[in-house]
Amino acid sequence: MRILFSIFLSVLFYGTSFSQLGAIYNRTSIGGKINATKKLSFSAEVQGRWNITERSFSKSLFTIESKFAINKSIKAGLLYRNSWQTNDYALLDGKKQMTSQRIAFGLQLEPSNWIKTDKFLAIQLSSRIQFESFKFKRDQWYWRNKLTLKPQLKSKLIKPFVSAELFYRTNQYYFLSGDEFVTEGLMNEIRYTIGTDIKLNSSNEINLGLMLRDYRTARNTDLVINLSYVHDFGKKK
Amino acid sequence: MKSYLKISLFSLLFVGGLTSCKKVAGPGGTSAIRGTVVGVNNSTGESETIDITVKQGNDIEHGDYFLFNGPAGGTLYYVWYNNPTWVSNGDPQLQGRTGIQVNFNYSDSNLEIANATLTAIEAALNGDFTISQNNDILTLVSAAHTEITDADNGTTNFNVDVTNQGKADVNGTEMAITDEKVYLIYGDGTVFNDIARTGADGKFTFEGLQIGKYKVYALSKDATTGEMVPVYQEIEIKEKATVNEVGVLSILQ
Repeated sequence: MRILFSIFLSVLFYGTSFSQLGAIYNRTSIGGKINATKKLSFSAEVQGRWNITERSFSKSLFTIESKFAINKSIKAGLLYRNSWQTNDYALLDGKKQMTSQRIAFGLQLEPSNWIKTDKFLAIQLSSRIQFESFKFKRDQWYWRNKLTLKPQLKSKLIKPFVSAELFYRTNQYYFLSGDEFVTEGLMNEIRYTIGTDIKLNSSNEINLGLMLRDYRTARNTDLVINLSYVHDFGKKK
Repeated sequence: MKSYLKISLFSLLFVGGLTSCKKVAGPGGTSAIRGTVVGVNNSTGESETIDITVKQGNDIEHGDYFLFNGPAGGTLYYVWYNNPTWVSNGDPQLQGRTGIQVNFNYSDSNLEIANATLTAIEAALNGDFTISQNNDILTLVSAAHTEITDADNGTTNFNVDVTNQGKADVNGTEMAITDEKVYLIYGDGTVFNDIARTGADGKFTFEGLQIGKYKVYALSKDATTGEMVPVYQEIEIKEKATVNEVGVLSILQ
């Protein structure tokens, strides 16, 4: 376990040691989830984002998600998110805020049982196709892949985790070459997160995390502090 | 189970539909507008203006002269001063030039010298120039808009100044205009939202546009007033990922 953590942290520091830090952000959310059936769950969340460096509000978001457990190790999910942010083109439509809508479909894999690591390390792999539409920005298509490692400690209160997520934007570049439009993709971001879930009791949980957004473009690396509260409204036995 | 799945899918789509935004003309799209700017460089030239400030007779010697020139292919002049009390011929007899003789006395004032010079030049001019007088300053203005070789004070100590350089009229032919600013207005706006410049072939492109109506314009010089006025072309993008030709913007430079 320590070896795995050491490798992860080494990769994290190596990957970010060449980058210049851009801004520090904070994401704070409150959400709830409910298990409608043994296999089907719903969750909803409201989130606020702030740019701490510039001391300004960044955006607010509302997310709803449903997950369906195909079996013990595989889940399929569907997500919808609406966000509100400052409209840089307010002079065009007379609105101070611009909205964007995201729809995502993904699969979540938990192979810990198969590879017999579940007693000391939970492994989670998730893959997601995501589409987001903006009013005055080009639509974005992403393929996201995330690896999460959760060491299984004896403590029932603290559940630490580390994760790394790759973002591949399928339409990063879009330009005219002669009379033809050309679209090119790019893995434009890697997110490294270290954090912990704090199980207050069977229904209430707090998540704390520190996330590094390492952009593979000219943009500087951002640091994000995550804080979220989740209430579980019930469990179907 | 199936009903739960249907409800969840429906609710996601319902909320999405409620909050989705309608796109309008502007940035953030996948289409482009292209066009070409052509123009004619028509400009009105200028006459050459020469100011000659003469001196009094005491400052002039028998045989002194100054030079001024007509347009290319026209008459070249020299104006020389003759004092009748001298026996010798003071005419410098410059080859290829038409001499204009002005009689004077050492006792003449600068105004008398100016009057005599005006009379002599007026009699000799063949329409290349008009001449006027303001006290001891004589002003020659060329009839044609053309470049003229500068006048020279020759052996006199007069002040001969070219106060306005002659310049020819330009009547160009229509051609592609390079590096010209082209403006784009989104929707029904009245001020421009984007600018592009034409390339070597006069072509311009605006990219990353959404479906909607647009106005493109370039500035053209009004032939009468010289004021810069916009020449508009309107265009509507009806489909995503399309190149929309706005055509030719014809301007005067």
